[in-house]
Amino acid sequence: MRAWIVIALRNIWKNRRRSAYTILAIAFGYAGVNMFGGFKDYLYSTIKNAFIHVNAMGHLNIHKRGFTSEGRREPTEFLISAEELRQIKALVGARDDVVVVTPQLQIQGLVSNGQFSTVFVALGRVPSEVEEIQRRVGGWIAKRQYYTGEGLSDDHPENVALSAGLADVLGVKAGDDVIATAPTVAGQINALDGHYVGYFDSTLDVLDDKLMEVSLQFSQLLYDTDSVDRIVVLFNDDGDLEAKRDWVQQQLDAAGLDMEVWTWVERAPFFAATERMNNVIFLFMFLVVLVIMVMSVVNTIGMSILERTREIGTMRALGLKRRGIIELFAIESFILGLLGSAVGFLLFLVAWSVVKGFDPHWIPPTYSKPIPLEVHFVTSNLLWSIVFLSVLSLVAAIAPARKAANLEVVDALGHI
Amino acid sequence: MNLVELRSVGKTYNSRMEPVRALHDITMDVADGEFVAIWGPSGSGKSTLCNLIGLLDVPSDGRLSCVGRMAAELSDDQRSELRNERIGFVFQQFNLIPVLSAVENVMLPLQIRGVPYAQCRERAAAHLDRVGLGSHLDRRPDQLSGGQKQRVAVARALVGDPQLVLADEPTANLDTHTAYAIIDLMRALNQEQQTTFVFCTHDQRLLDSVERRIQLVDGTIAEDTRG
Ligand SMILES: Nc1ncnc2c1ncn2[C@@H]1O[C@H](COP(=O)(O)OP(=O)(O)OP(=O)(O)O)[C@@H](O)[C@H]1O
Ligand SMILES: [Mg+2]
Repeated sequence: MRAWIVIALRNIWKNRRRSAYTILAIAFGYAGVNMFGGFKDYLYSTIKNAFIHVNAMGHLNIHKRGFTSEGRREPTEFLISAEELRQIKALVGARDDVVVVTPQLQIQGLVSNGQFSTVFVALGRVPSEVEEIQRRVGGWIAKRQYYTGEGLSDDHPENVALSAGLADVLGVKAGDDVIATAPTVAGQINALDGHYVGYFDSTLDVLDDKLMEVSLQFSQLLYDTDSVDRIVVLFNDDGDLEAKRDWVQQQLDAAGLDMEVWTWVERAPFFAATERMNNVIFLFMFLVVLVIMVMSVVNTIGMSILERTREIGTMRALGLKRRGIIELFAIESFILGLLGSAVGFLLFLVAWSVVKGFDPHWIPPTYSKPIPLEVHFVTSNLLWSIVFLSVLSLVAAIAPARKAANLEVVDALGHI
Repeated sequence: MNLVELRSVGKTYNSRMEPVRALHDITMDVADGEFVAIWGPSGSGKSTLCNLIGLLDVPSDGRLSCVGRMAAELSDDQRSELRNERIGFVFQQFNLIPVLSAVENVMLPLQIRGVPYAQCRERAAAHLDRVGLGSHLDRRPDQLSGGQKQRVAVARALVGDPQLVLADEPTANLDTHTAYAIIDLMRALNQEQQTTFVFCTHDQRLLDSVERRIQLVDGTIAEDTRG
């Protein structure tokens, strides 16, 4: 083995020009795949943070059974009562890794500035508990100012915040009052004064002229109810949400509470769609890299074999078996893959540092404002692609090496 | 039993458009410890015969046994093992591995056999010393003269203590003086260690120091003389 490694290394060095091309092909492939992989990871975590923390969806959502199916027509018929809420808080909150259990009530209706009205959708939430969820966010989002002006507070349940577009449509300034109108749970029309304190950027531009944020108390007053339509659960880690969901569902079932429990991923189809799209792009890119790399390796090893045919004959005459010839070239190719990945890692480091240094911003699809563009340093991706590309490089050499190994010794020796 | 036995051996190459009958009706033996020259004009089949005896190729007709084994009964891997353990080769173009130093080239047969590195190196160095290259261990082939390269090749052929060494035109790429030196070296090794040597040549001048000469003409034995 040691002898074959020596032979491989020296031949790579001897043909360093040719080797360099292959190594660079692998290196650029490695760097490209990992840059995109790091970007993908950034997108993933950004969207995830946006859903779980910024939008305060938490990890799990508990609804009355039927809320997400029949309840879409008549949401107010699938509400969780105050008594059920109390029970659920006690049951779920008993778990050590649960950090927040908070009720919410989504409302919709008309909002008016006194002169004209427009439709709105609002989540009524407990401001301090939403803050607790938002506070736990990681990454660049943590540094972002969410509200322009003031936010909501537990002490002032009449405060409301509007999405930037809605504030614009209504033409209101901080301190102005707005009037929200909606049918109550019982069916009467109800109106409530809100105190406009600040605006926020909605991440989805289609909703930018419709969103409102209110306190839970405000939404319950408007709907004239003490029920809620969802309970958000936040854990202190993202690990195995499926199992956590099942655990919560079991607790609720055992207590005779007829609820449905969803993970945030299930309630965020946009996230899954983005993931799928990225995976397709990633796969496509990976295939291109793969093809270029395999072609490059096959070409290099093929040339090596052609030049060293008599050497192959000699080694065979000295007693090396066919298998040994394949090993000889497979090792050489593996080393090329390893060197390529190593150079690729350096290239990645350079590109990664450049992106970090320039701190670029971009506007992702459906977003209304630029956000920082990052490439994450994903250690496991970086390590696994070294292994993968080296092994792939080895495998790519097997076909040409096998052809060389199957040559008759006499023919190989006679080769000039 | 003889080290090498051929009975009505023939070899026909089928690689080209029409079959080429390179050898036919070869019947001969080589006993342990002999020093044999196979000579004849170009195209008479010397290399073909050498390759058959060395288990590099298999006969198309007849029976051939080498180091006690019937060639026809051996798999490719078994022939490789036998070559590695019992047979040494010296080639016309030296066939040293260009990226390996002299001592590393000589180590190869032992490394293929799986002998530990330190032991390989020690034995290889000893054999290089024996062929007069004790001070050139770490030279690469391109830093050696033709004669020196062929000495390295002889050391490589002998390092595994083979019973039989086959040399196909070992002197064809060397000047006369060096050619004699190489033949003398092989002769000396043959007498010291009783290793059997079979070498092919078309150079009649080299036959003087050889005790047995087999002349090939048109793919068959024309004359087999001793003394
Ligand atoms: N691989 C092959 N395919 C077809 N014909 C071959 C092959 N090798 C040798 N021959 C033919 O077989 C005959 C014997 O060739 P061989 O090489 O054994 O002769 P030789 O005595 O060694 O000649 P030289 O002195 O030129 O080396 C020649 O006619 C040659 O053309
Ligand atoms: Mg010949």
